[in-house]
Amino acid sequence: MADNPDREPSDAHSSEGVAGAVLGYLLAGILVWGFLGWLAEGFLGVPAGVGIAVGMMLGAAAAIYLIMKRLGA
Amino acid sequence: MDVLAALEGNLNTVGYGLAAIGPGIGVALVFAAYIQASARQPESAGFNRTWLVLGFALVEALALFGLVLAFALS
Amino acid sequence: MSGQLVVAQDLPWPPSVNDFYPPAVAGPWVTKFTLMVWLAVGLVIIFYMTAYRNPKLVPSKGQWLAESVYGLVRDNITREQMGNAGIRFAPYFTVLFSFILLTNIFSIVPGLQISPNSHIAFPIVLTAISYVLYLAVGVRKHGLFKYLKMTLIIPGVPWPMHFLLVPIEFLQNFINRPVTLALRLFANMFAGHLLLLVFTVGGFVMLSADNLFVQVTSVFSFVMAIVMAFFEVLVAVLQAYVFVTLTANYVGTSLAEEH
Repeated sequence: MADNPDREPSDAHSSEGVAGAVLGYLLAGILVWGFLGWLAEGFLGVPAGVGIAVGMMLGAAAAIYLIMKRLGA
Repeated sequence: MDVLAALEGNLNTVGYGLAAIGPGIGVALVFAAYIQASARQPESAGFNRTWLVLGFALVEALALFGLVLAFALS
Repeated sequence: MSGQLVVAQDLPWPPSVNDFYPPAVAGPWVTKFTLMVWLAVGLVIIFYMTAYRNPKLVPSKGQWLAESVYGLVRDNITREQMGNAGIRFAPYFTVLFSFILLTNIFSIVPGLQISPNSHIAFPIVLTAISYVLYLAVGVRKHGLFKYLKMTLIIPGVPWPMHFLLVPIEFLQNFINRPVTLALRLFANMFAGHLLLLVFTVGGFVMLSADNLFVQVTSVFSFVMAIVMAFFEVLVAVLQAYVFVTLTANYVGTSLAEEH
């Protein structure tokens, strides 16, 4: 994407930066909310696996939303 | 019952290996489509990039589910 | 048995983590890695000192090399990632690039044959410098509170979403970034050394086998070892480039104006 005509000069994210950031945000979201879901599962006494699954879905959704806000637009 | 094959170690690694097949193909398709689109129509590259990032993120999330679950489930 | 085959008996097979701990040279504090890092530091200092001691309009070979490395880092990495405001960081990035490149190349230099970066301690220190650098630059430019607000809070998002997003941003910006930076360099050099060990030592082990067919097949193992040595050069250059590019990118995001 080096000679893409409509890229902004200084604020544009490089392709390496974007790939790393997408992976990092996704992993961070899934880890944080998966972990919180796992904790909540222990406290609330939900059957095992429900909390972590819901947490991971939520985290992935939040991460994708964040990626679109930060990098997509 | 005769044992035909046995596996030592953690089965989660095999599970993650299987879970990575689909997203691997998916990521390849996403990038192939992006490269093809911007080769045919270079001026659309900036516009398509948003959808590239979204598609990559959606597909890669599945692989990361597998990665996290491989560590989390015991 | 010929002499070569006797050697194969002593070679460690299969390669393991123990191969990354050569015996200490003098006491527990002076190891092969200590000496290699000092060697790299000395080489970088001497190279840039001699290249720039007497700069000429028509450069000598040394000056030309030093200038092209600096030009690459300044134009292709720093300006690309940070814009013109980042040029003042280019000297540090040049030294960082030269040091990482040199220590990575050590993995295939005869006699040294292992990169200090295949021990996690060295990438961790390099990453710690980058980490402190981009935090310090951000805090100095924007002030602590505004810098935190800038990195953690995304503008134009309905406020309940912040509960969801702030932990993710925190993990990404303050934990994920340095960890992946250090781990990427370490893992590449570690895996590269292991790969070379597998093919070279494996070749000798195959050569010392009783079976004639296995002995002949060891040729392929040695050929692969040579191919992998060239591949190591590529990985060494690429990882040095990626490390510096990402550092520049992180410092650049700290420098960026609020939007």
